[in-house]
Amino acid sequence: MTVPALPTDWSTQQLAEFLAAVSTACDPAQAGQRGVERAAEAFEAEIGFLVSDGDVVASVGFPAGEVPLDLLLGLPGDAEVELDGLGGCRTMAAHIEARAGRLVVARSGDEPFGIEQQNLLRGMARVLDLTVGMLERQILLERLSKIQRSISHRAPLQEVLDAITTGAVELLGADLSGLRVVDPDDPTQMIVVSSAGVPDHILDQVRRQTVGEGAGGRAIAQDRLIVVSDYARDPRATKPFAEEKLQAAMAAPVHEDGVAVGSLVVGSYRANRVFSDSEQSALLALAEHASLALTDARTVEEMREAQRSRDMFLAMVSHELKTPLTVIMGVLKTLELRGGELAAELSQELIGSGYERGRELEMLIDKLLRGARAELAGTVEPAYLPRLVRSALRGFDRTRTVSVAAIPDLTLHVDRGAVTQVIEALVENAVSHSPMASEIRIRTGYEDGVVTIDVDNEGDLPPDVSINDLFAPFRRGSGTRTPGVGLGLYIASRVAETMEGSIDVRSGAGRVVFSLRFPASVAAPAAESSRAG
Amino acid sequence: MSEDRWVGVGRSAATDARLAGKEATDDALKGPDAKLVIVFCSSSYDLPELLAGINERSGGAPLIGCSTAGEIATSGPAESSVVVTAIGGSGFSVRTRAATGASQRLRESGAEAAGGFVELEDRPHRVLLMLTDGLAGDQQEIVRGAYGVVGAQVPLVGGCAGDDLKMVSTQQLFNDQVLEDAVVAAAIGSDAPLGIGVRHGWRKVGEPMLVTRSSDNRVYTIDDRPALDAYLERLDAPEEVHTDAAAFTRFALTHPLGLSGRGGEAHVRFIGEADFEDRSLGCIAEVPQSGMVWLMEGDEDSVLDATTAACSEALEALAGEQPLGAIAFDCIARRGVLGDEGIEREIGRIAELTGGAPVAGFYTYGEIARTRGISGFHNQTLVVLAVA
Repeated sequence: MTVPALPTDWSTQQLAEFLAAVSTACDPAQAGQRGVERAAEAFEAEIGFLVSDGDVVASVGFPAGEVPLDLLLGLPGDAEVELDGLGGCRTMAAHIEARAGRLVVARSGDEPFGIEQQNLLRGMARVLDLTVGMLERQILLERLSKIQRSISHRAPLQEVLDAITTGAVELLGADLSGLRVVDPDDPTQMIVVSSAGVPDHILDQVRRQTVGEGAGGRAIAQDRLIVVSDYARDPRATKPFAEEKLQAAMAAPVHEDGVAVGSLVVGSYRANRVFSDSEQSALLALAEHASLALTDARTVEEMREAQRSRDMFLAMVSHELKTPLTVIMGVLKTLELRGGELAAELSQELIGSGYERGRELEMLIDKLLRGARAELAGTVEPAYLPRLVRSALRGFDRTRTVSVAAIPDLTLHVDRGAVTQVIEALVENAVSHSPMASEIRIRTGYEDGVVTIDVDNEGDLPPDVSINDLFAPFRRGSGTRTPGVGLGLYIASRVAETMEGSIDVRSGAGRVVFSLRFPASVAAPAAESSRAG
Repeated sequence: MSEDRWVGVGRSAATDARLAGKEATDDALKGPDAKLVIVFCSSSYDLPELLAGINERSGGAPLIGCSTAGEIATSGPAESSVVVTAIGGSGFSVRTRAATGASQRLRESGAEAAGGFVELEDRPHRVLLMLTDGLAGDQQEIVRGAYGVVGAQVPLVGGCAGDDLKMVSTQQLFNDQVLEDAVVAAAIGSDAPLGIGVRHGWRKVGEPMLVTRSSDNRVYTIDDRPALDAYLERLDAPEEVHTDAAAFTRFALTHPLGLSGRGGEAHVRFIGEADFEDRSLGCIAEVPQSGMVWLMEGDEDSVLDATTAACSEALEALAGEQPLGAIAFDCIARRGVLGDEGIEREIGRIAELTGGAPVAGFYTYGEIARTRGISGFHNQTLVVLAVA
């Protein structure tokens, strides 16, 4: 049996026990409390307390709620003092430089603390300092990794930012914290995007501030850590905070792509509050995470935007492909079934129409192959209105009765592709939402430089659907008979917008009318040539 | 002054619980205006009945109490009995509290039970008397919790309830309630001094051993070996102690561990039980990891000398005033050393020293006394509270 070498002297033994007790603490507060208790136990002292950054952070030996803070803060390190209820006491203190603090014990009676005891207390103070430092770092790391996790799990940005400001208050023992970012619409201004511990009446006053003002504004303007002690007397302090007697503040810049776009600020009302080096590092680390969160959120938003437009692009492209294909398939089916019965002229026309749609498909596929995004808006060129309308209706009038009212005899400057697309979409919609045997009526007008094309079908609008809903993507009416993804009206309205036009809908007396309106100027000479052609 | 204060002690060994409660209380109520009733009784009684009898006679004066491993009265030690102490008169004020669920929140329960102190009328002399469940866990944590409430100005005194060494469950009594896993406490204020004496009379023997792994009040390894093996081997314990739980507890009573202290008497840790599976030792209070422990020994002389010293210390603290009564918290382990005759002599000695003032008390699983310093939990110790 091997017996480990035993520490036989009392001090070593006590220090080992002290280390064992404080190192198992879960947080700095508990380590501090255990530290003062174990120190008092070791010296058989009645009183023990720990001062850190000018404040008593742990104490033992006083009735609950009756810790005489001023007395303790003023208690000399090595002295004989009279304490209430204890009589004459001897005190002993060990300083903790890094925290502007000290560990103090007071023992009743007049037995002085010997040199061995003083050394032991110094050792305990050192152990306590290291342990508390370790726990603080550990808590900071835990907090940061929690924030990192929420960033990587794509938690809502506000949630992440709130976790940072709350974390700043808790980790730094501050009273308030705020995160500001520069207003994208006005770079001279900054806006509070998250705060913790800031009362509402102050928040209202500081919600918008000029960059450069206050600790937070300076951190952005100078792109560095700003530490302010004696805040209330700082001439550049933010007034509402100064009026509330804020004692100390510090602010760290928050970056996006390396540029200071905001700042994370903490403040304390406690007298003589000094932010230690480790607290300054902690704030910088938190600000760094705010930077991460902001940069990441923007990237995510861009990705989502890209994703959205890609999905939309695909949906629109497939719709574009499908519509002409439907017509082509219809033509071929008619020819297959009734080819022999059809007059040669009619057959020719059907084939011509199918061919035209095939050309459109070819052009569209060409466009795709060239890698062009579906630029819906094309070029404006002269077009003969009657032909434009009739060519857009071609194919539909084979499957349904389409009556076309007189079309103004005009040649206009228009985006032919766009007009065709909208008419097709509206007619397709009419076909989908009206009885097979019913008539679809087309009326075209031109007045004060505005073209109006009405597509009128039998039916009714669903009662609970707003006009906005009708034009939203991926919406399909309940009675829809034809397959599709519900993009037709959406595309039509988007395309109409590219012509600076609009689509309205109205219903009544068992009919629904969609009206396309768009401005177009008359190009008479070209009309003639077009007509001639 | 003393006409404003009185202390009375009554005992009954009646088998009927209600009757026993009434008899003991009648003897204890020496005067009017009872401020506090303190009950020490065998857990073999029907405790609700016992309390009903006591409260009927006391008129419902605030009551704290506990089950024991033997009761002490002026006439000597006994078992299967009830001892009632009553204090009263305008010279005393009392606030009582109870905290339950102690094993899950040792420190908080100590603080909660001590909470009556906050409301205690300001008197020149004060003490917090605590009765705890010694099987709930690290008792020093309970004491720390109470110390955090009352601070260094107020002494703590008391003991851990017993269950006749069955080590299964103990009861704490509060007014008409029978509690388990609880801490009950009375904050007592008096116009006259309250004296506390503490001694154990045990000595360290042999070389120290190092606690290489412990957690709260369990010791897992000593000198890097399973604690139970190291302990039994060092003591060359009889065979049955290695395997039988009851035999182990009896053996461990007189073979406690001692903890190093700065000076004066070392702290003693009573080993309540052993886990034969994981080879650990269960103590009544924390044995710090990395701490040094010694095996301790005591004999009748050293233990009785401690009795004299503890009593004298308590009486001296009365600053010349005559004691009205004394309460003894006497570790059951001392009984193991003294034997039946020895404990008769011990109580006789206490009664002699208090000069005819009534004596009450019980055999405990741990003792509480904090007058100086901060450590207030003891084992194998006699704690005496003298009331003037």
